[in-house]
Amino acid sequence: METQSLPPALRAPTDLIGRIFSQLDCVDLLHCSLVCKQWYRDSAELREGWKNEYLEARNLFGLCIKRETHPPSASCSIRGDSYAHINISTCVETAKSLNAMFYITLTSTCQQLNMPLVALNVLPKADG
Amino acid sequence: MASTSNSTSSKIITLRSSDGEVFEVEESVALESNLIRRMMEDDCANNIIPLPNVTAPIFYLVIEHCKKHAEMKDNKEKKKELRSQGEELLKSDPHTYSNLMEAVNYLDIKSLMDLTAQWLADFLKGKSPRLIRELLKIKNDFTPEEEAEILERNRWAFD
Repeated sequence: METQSLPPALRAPTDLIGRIFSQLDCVDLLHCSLVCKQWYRDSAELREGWKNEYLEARNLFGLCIKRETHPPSASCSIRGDSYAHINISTCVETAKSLNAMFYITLTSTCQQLNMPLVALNVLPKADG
Repeated sequence: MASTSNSTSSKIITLRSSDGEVFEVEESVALESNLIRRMMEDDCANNIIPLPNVTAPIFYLVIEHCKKHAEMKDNKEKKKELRSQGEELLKSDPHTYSNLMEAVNYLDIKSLMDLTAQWLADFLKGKSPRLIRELLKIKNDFTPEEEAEILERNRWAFD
């Protein structure tokens, strides 16, 4: 009965699932953790990592969370086609007013895209 | 499909799937699997190599993708094409995807482990928990209370 209730994708070995989850941004990861208990457990360590990174960024840069103005999808994730349209000055402007999560996502996106300069540009402005 | 003997120098390896089908595969393809490589090195592969954990339909898929992967080396277009096939497979047949992933893991084929992992990661991006469950036919085993509690605890990310 146990195996019958196990969904197909769950039979992936835990280390493989960990590798898959490590490619996701924090919102996607949290979505996955809400899919089922097994994935919740499998994603625990990575979620903790994201959270620590978030707290660290908040402490370091004093960025604050503005709940009302920024819906989660827009502020926490930059995905797909929008990669191509990120423009540095917009990022800097946005980062000034946006929350720490945006900053983290932005910098990790820059890392993935191998664009360290964008992150560097945002950093001092966001701080000031 | 069992063998492509266009390469004259390549040795042919004979393998048997769990459901008894016999495959003849070029050595270069078979050696993509670290499991088979180890078996051959240990010399326990004089005759037919048994693969007790892999069924014939899945083994076909594995060989097919090994070949595709070999072909696409340094070909960005093909790489993209192969990467985009995951979404289709996961949507249409998550069960086969799961079996493929298990087989690839069992056979220890690095390139295909990376590929199948990439497929799932790409597939999960931007999807809600509900949609993921629906598409992958995963049962929601959280109570509404548990779900609410997790959301509450992770407000920092969603706000």
